[in-house]
Amino acid sequence: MSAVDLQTNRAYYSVRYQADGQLAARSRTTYLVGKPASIDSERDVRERINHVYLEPLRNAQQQLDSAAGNRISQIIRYLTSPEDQASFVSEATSSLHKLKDHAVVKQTAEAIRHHVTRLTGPVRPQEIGLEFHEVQLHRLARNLRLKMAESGVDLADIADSGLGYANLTFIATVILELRNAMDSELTLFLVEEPEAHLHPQLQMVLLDYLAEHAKASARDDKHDPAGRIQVIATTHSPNLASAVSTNQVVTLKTGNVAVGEDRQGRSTLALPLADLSLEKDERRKIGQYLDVSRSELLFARSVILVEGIAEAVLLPALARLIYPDPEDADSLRRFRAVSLINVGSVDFKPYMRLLLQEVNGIRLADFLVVVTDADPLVKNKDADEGSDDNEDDQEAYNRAQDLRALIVELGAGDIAHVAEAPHTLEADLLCDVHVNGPVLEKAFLSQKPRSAKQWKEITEADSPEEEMYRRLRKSKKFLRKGEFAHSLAVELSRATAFNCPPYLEEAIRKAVETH
Amino acid sequence: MVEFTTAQRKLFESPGGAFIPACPGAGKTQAMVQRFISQPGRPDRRGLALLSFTNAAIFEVEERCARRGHLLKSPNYVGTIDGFINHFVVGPAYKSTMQQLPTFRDTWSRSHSGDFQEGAFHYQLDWFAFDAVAGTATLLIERVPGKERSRFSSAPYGHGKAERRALGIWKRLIATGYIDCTQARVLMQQYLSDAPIRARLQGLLQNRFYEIIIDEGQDCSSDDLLLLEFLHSSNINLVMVADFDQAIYEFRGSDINGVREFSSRLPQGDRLDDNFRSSPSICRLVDHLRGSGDKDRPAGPFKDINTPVHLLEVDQLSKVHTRVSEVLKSEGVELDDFIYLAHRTSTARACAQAGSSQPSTNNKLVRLGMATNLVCAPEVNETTKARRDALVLVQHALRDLASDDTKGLPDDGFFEAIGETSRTFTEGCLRIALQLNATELDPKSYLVTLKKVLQKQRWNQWADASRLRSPKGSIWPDEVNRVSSGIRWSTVHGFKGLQSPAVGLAISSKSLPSGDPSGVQLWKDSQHGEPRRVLYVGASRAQKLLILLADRSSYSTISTILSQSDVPHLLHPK
Repeated sequence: MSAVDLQTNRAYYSVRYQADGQLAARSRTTYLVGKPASIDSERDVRERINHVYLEPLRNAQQQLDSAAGNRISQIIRYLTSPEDQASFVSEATSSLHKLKDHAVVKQTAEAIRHHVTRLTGPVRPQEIGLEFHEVQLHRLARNLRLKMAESGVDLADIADSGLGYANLTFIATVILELRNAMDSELTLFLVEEPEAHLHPQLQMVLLDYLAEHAKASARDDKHDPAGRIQVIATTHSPNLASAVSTNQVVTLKTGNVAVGEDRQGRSTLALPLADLSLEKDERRKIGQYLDVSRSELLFARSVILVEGIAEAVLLPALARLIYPDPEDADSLRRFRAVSLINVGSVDFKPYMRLLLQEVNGIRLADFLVVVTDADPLVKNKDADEGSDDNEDDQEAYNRAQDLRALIVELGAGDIAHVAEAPHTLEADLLCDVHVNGPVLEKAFLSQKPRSAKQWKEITEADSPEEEMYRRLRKSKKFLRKGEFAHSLAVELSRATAFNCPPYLEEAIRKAVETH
Repeated sequence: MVEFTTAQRKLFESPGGAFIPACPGAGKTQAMVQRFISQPGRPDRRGLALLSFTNAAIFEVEERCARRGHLLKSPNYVGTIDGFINHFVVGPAYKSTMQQLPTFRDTWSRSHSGDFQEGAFHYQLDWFAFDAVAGTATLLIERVPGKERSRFSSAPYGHGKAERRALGIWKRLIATGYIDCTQARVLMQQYLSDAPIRARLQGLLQNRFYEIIIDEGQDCSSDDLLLLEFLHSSNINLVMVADFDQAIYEFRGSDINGVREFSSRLPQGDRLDDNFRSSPSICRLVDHLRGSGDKDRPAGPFKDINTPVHLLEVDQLSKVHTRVSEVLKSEGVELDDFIYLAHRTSTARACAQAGSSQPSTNNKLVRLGMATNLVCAPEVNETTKARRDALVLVQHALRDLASDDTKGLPDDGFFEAIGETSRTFTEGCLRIALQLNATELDPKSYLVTLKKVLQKQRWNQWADASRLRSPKGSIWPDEVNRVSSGIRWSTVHGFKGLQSPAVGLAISSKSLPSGDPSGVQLWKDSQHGEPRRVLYVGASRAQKLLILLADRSSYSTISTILSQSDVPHLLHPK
């Protein structure tokens, strides 16, 4: 009962391991219960919590197919009764006994005997026979081979099937062990990196299968152990992590912890996403986003959040322009490690709360840059008539300011930056029209080959950025932004000169250079 | 395996709650343990608890279940009622309301800062009554051991300063999560009257236990009853076994009338009146001391022994043993089968020529020496508990060697600071105690050895033995080497639930410090009361030989009572 926290009505079990660097024998494992955790005075209760461990799959084919036959014999022992095992062995024995009379065996034995008798006869006569080795279960199992093939095709050695299916088969043999879960209150099914050598589709199927297994396991514990199964999987796969609710995800990070009075050490820290305070709505949005995008959001360290596909496509191309020299290769690699997350809207706040909120002394992101547009109102009469823009409700709204306030609220001033486009990306690329104009023109004309005149009007305006922005605002049909970005990225890779708008250069440099 | 009587069988075969009165030596413990094993009416996976006030019953369960180890494991529980309260009520509620770990201690003397020196006096925290609401501490003079009491009561400036200091220490202990028995009960009351907490606990306990067996029910205090009421209202079966005449804990708050009332609401079982312990003459005397009309039936191995009860007139307790030896010899009883029992420790010790138990010095080296000696070579009388207590003293003494910052930490903090756990610290202390023989070493070489063993254990990193000083004069050999007389003794309270083939029960006619009449007086006047029940409990410990050791005035009273009774007896006037 000391494991139960009365407020939450949940039982807490934990283990503390204290390593003694000097003397291994002095390292200690302490089993704790409750919240706050105290020494477990009913250790026998803990014995009813067990686990089945599925190691990271490295060589499933070999394990299943090997002559050692360990896996198969384990399963046989596990699943069948001793009586059945005995009858299997005795049947094999009697079959082999019959085989003893087979011509092959008899003739061979006879041939050997012939020579041996003649050699030993004069001294001390020896008898010769040929018999099978005593039959044992593990030897029989060694001769069993798991065969599989796509249905409709003859079964083949597992070595001939894809590694992915061999892995799944291996997992199935481990899942069999969960049968014993009925005798435990709780069985933890610990799965390490199930994504290794599994197709993304198989990963999802596996996860769903395990989740169903776990869901079906709960039952009344009045007369028998509860037999609950809980699946804990470790993964580096955004695909898997995105497939479950954020409430079920715990992120592990290395962080600083106090060791002793004034020393700091590195340790693995856990950030349960369930502990983040998020509005129900925000959590739903993140969940939906992850479900669709399968993005690496939850694995992100250094992050740039952008509004749309244009930024997502162009930022890598611009980064290459910012770090052109061979000496900058390191920075460019670091940019590759930055997660560029396309939120697809200006609704940044849920993601910022997710990435910046501190739980247990750590945050999901180490550094966050949000790139957003100022989207200023156009002081032009055209804007009202015929505008298909319905963002008029943002009249007095300054998004960047609002986001910066959120950063302050989350206490993340040191690790977050909001980069604001004065207008909007496509317009602000025209910041240095003499250098950038020709490059942009090619991209523009590749989409609108007959609009050279329009382009001229824009670039010759007093403020090309504003002119471009005005036209963008006037009609969404003016430019297909995604396509434009793709064309521009190609042009940028060929361009000899292009000046990155300052707000984007700052965004990239911050993400790369802050550590 | 002993044959069980019908009443015993009923106790362990009938499902459901019950109240069962029992006489001494009725084999109630065996029957209860049998019930614990056979679990009549167990409905599902929920468990069974057996609660007792004495360790005797707990040991017996543990021994009998040794080969059925699972019975002692969760969901079952065997332990004292205090342990139950801490484990199942106060512990969980404290943890979740305070978000802090409780550290339970039976008494403050078992926590590190349980005593202190103030002026010329050395105080124990257990001698004070604390009132959290009023923020006061009061020295209860009656809690000071007899030898010191008069010195304390004649303190020229009172004990105000000590009381303030005690309050400070107590507050600090409470704040760091220490909880003694008294405090645990205060908290239990608080938690059980808090509806949400009560409901949560109720749910958890209902799911954990279907039945709780309570041994020695007569010793329940009003707080214990509060717990029992709570369990009863949670629809958990209660099986309570009690002998109201063995209620000798009123001074500690046992609530005999409350128990009677509560037990009357349980289904009534048959009285266990077969006495398997005592001879017929002892049974008769015990009946007479009880004075309720109930008659015990001698049924055990001594039911056909005709040894009378001996009554000795005594004027000096320290010289009584020669005469007792003669009686033992005449009845053919070995000294090993004999024990002195008395209401007070000092009386029992005096009879057994065991000397005083209180160290007369505050020298820390001497105290450590006494404690390590007790751990290594306990007196013949000393029980496991006494050795455990001595080990606690060793732990306190060694902890005292840590720096002031460290030793004042709460237990968990202290253990962490020295890199041990509670268990490894205790083991380490035991290891050290066993390597220190104060009988053979003079203070100087004792100290040298101590430093060596501390170093060997790497404890010299935190423990500084140079804090200890050799005592002056001849205290060292006298105090430390208390040669045991080899005669067993105990207080009546300490021997509850136990038995001995032969018992010498010291009886005084002196009124109690409170002014209440003595047990003999009550007996003579056919009045009931706790002092008389103490005599009853003491006498009923004897199996075949009971020697009453009476001072002059009680001798004449008792001889008169005996002559008018049907108790076979033999008088030994001075």
